Amino acid sequence: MGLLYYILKRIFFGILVIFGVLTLTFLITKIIPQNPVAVWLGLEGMQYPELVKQVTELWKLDRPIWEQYIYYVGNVLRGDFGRSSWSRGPVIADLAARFPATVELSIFAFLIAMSIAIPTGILSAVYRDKPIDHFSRILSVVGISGPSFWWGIIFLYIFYLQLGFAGSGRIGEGMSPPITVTGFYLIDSLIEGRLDKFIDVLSHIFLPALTLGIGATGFTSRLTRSALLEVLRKDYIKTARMKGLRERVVIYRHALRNALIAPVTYMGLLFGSMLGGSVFVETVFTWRGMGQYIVTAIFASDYPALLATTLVIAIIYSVANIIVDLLYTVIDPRVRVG
Amino acid sequence: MVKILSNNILSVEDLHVVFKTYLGTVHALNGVYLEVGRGEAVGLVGETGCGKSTLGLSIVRLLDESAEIVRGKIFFNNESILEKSTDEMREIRMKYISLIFQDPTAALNPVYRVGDQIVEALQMSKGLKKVEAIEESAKILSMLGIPESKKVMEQYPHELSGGMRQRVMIAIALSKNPLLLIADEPTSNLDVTIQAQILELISELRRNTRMSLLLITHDMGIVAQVCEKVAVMYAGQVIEFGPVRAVFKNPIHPYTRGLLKVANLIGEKSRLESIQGTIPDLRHLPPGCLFSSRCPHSFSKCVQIRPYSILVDNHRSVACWLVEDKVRYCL
Repeated sequence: MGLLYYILKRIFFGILVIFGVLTLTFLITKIIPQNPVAVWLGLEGMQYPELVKQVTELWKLDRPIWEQYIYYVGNVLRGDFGRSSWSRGPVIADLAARFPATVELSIFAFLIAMSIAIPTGILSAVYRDKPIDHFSRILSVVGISGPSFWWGIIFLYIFYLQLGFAGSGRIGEGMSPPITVTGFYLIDSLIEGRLDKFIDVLSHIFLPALTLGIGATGFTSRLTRSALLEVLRKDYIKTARMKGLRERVVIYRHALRNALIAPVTYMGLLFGSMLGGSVFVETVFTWRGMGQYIVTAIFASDYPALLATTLVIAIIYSVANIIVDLLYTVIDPRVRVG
Repeated sequence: MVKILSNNILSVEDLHVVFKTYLGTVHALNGVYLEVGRGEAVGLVGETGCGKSTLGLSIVRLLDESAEIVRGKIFFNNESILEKSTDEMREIRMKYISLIFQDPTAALNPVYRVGDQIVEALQMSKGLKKVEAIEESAKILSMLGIPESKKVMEQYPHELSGGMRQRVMIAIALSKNPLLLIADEPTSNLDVTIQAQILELISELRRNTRMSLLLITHDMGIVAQVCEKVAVMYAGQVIEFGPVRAVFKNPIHPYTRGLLKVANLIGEKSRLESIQGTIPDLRHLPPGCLFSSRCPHSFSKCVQIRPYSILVDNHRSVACWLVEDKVRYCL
């Protein structure tokens, strides 16, 4: 009962947050001194007052702001985000095409980051002040310090230009994308049963994912290290040692689970920030995802597209945080009550 | 090599431990001598920061990395602890020595059920199978006065009261039937009534098992209640050692006298007293007696030369120049 209540409460607050974001972005577009009708019609179209009046009325821009708001929220709830003034298609269709690309990239980046960060963090803590610690410390600082688009350019230069490793885009030029089932190329290519495509997609996703995850890797590694060092000083670790347990068991069974509480908190934010960070990475690697879409939307003053992508990112943030909260209850029994 | 087997389960000789900190080297233990006989209970008393806990952790070699044992010997069961390999040390911790901490909340792993934590200890020390270990833990917990022990085993440490947690800690400590139990302020964090129960429990277990006890505390009353011998520590030295009754009745070292007066165990029961001054800076130790700056009886020798432990009769030793004329043997 307690756990279900807890989950429902989290979801409720998540919805509140998303609603807040929706309202805020709506208000911001009202404050920006730019006429969406002008964006849609262009200079030429603006010369026909009839047309301007027609579009303004169609979009209810002549109504009071609260009425516009209700109209907008109603449409969003029905899944109608309007038409992109740049692609001219429904925003929802654009997003459906691009959203999986970004999510796939982010998940893959997240997995790479974690599978590097947590082991190096553990090694760093266990072999504190030994060469391996210094080495991972240097790597972390370098990873955190370099901006992701810079890493992207460096990686492209080394791996693509010099070594001839897979280049930009989601799939090699000679290949057709796999039939869309989930929108994730990695999964779709497997469903299609084309291992060659899978490997090609894998080689394409690797560099952008590494680029996207490199900062997070450094940070999480440091966080894991310090959390583990702190836990290793606790009395219950002494209790564990007094049982005669091997060092490996002391660290993995008794220390690590306690030490991971802090990094897990960070992981939720991390995943969200990866979606935001993909703006740069997608541009560098011409990855046709939401990041690229949002950049185009900004330059084109494409309000419907901007509103929709912001909302989608907010939803992902909230969901990531709910997942983190649930992970908490798995890791730490003290959170389970209330 | 001929080993002289003594009747002591534990003896510590001239133990020096330092902590390397950013602010300098802290001399935490400065030549500790201590003996715990088989089946004996020794109280280790002294004010906060005198090195009691450091001594306790040195014995099982669980000091933090910043600590270093510079000099001295520790014999447990006639074997030199400091010469043991990591694996030998692990076995000693697994089977022969137990440790109870001051704060049971911090000493139990918050993310595992208490039952699993006791079971783990039993599996290690006695090599029991999981099912047997579960039965055995339930038995130990009921023996420690916990009703519905199976139910308690299903709970997490944060779901138990402080007294219950300390009982669980004791269950873990006793699961191996240790030869030596080191209890570091086992009752300081508990209510007075619970405190009495826990102490009674420890005393009873000792009567039944021949287990030796090193009880670290700052409470003289607890020592009088539980222990046969007492070691008084000051600034990283045992400055007086002997049978509880003799020491409490006739304290020799001025510090012991002061401590007992503060505890209101001797002298007229009047207003609270305190010992003037503070312990010396452990980073810059004076050459003489570490207590000399606070001692009402100090004379020139005290400031120049540090006193060593002097046996005043067969059972008692004191590190104080005031008793030099009574010397019989030197340690």
